[in-house]
Amino acid sequence: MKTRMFALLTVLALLAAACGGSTASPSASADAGKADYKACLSLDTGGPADKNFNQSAYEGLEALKAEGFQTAYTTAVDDSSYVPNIQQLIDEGCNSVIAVGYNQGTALQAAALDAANADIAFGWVDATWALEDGTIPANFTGIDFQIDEASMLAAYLAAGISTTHVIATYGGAPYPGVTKFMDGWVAGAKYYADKKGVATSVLGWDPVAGTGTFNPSTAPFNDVDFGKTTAEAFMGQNADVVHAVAGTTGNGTYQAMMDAGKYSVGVDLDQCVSLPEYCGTLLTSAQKNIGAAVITAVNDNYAGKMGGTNYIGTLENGGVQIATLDRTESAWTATFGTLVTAELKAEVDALKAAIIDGSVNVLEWAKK
Amino acid sequence: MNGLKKFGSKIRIPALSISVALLVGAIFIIFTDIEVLGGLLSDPIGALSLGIGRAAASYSALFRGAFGDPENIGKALASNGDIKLWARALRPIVESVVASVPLIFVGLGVSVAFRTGIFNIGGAGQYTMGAVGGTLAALLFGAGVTPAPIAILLVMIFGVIGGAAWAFIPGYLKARVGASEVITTIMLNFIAGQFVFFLVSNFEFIQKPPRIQPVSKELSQFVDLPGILPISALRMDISIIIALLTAVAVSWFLFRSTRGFELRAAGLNLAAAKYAGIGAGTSIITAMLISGAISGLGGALVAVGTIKQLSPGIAGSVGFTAIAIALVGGTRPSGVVATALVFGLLQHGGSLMQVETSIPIEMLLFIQALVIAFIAAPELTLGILKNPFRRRPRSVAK
Repeated sequence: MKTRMFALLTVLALLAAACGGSTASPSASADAGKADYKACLSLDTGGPADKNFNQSAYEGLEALKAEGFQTAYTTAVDDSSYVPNIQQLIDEGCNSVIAVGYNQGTALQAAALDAANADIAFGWVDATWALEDGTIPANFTGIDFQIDEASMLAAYLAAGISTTHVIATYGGAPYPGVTKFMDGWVAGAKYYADKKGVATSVLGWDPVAGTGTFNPSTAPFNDVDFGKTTAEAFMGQNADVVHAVAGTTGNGTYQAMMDAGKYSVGVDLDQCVSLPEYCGTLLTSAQKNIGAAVITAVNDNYAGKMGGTNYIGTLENGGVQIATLDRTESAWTATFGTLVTAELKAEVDALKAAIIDGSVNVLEWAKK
Repeated sequence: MNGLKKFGSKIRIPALSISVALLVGAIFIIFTDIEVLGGLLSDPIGALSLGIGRAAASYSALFRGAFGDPENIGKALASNGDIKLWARALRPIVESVVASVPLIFVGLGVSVAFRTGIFNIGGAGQYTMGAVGGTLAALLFGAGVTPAPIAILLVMIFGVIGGAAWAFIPGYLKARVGASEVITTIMLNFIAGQFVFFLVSNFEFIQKPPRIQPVSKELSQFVDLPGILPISALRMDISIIIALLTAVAVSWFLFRSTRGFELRAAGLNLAAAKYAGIGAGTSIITAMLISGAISGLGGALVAVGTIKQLSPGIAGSVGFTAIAIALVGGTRPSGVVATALVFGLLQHGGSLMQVETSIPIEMLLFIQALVIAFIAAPELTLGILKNPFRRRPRSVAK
């Protein structure tokens, strides 16, 4: 009995010590103002190490910390976490609160419109938002990506190495942030067919009808099995390059494509780096530089620009890109070293320039 | 005094389990810290004290996140009634209670089934279908179609019907054709999630405009559950009161009513109960209906009142956590309520722990799992605490 009491007391003592302790002071920095500015992320269920979307945002936060900002983040457990997590960050004195992922919209919008939070800058990664009268709240920044520009380049490249002239794509769920990738994918294939006179068909998405292949599961972005079976179904219809726009679900696709000696295109970040085991099948990735966008948004907030605008990442401003084709990873060069010719690279560069100068309109090509 | 002793012996194992789980959790926090590990060889004392400091800071955040920060409470007390300060001071404990509401409902629901000897794993599905019922009722009868109190009552009734109907299927299958309820209820959980996905992505009447995201319209525009606290920024509504009343009702039903006695008898020994003239099929179906009704009521109230939206993932991890809560709470309503509150405190406290110390939220799930494991193995827990630091003979105390 006595030892039991002792153990309980130990716990209590630990707690008492804990309550007495003060939180660590932020590290000294050249810019003292930044140490008083707190940048915070409300991550979706993937958390800071999902090798994907949340991770890119989190890497941005780490960079902000290195710049001297105070930082903090929360991870959602499920849909009911969004409201309390955002409120938690507000209560903890965050000056910028950036929510990652489309699902947090309802909670974030309510917080941004709350008069009590007027002096807090809110950001929303992967979506833009305007009130019904068309204005953007003064303390809100939407962070979105013209990702169809990057996936169009990726599709052109895919069409260029495809031997069956069938390339495929599918999405986790039909969110606008997802279908935009798929629009670009179709546009790239059509542009290639037009330029080269080689009929190239696309499976999995019809931008005109707005129908395509999506994962009906309740965890559409965390469903590796769906990624695998979908890839196998596409290969059964002769596709030899698949662009999975489905977060972790895509890992199943990469596995299936690699097993079959076929190719895939990554999503959101340079997946040859984040998933090196699949580098041998990942031709390239349609990349959103979410981390860079988070850094830009927080620095703008810090400089006094609370919001009222949407940041759109494009090929031109470097917010989107395709992962580099000048790779040294042996797995990649073994597969793609000869397939991706200098000529093809030059064509992709030309297309990039054409998209930037406006002579190629991605959406027009998608719906052609 | 005797009552106190009885109470003490009842909560002894859970209390010890929570303490041990926190201690083990602290050890993990210390020895998974990269800086502590790095310094362990060169400066073990310094590294360990750094680690202990980190663990203390984490638990400090966990407890302030769960109950409230004494500093904020002090500020609120000194402020002479500043609502903003009070809201901030009280929010942690309020949010912890809000987080425990779904756990109370589903924990009570599955407890009734467990008491009847039915392992109802379908709490998540019944909760989801209750949420569907509540959402439909809110959309149909809210926003002025019927007076607010009636709309709220209808939300609750529809939730009860949704959950009970969903639980009836496995109950009927078990009673009539002997289908294992473990399998049927798990499968129906998936079907419920898919059904919500179908509803919220195909019907303009339900889906949130501009109809891109698979979620329902915001339900607070239709039905708003009245808050029970004088500060409107604190979102605690009548659902906690309904949850507690439900617990009292379940307690009365199980331990004071004839029907409850029959159900418990069926749970203890189905053959003997049959011999005593208790219909096995009726007991199973009744227990499942009540079980589903309670989970469904919770789903409706949480969807309409707390989350204010229906989405396919609305049940989250509630279903499985609630099973653990029912078992930890000894399938007694009082035990379920107390355990659900502890889990609510851990859940909400964990988010502040992550904000302040960047310790991943998974650490909390780890501690929760340890609590359950220790409660499931009471002799192990007592053994550890009886003599934590000395090697003992192998015989385990009875």
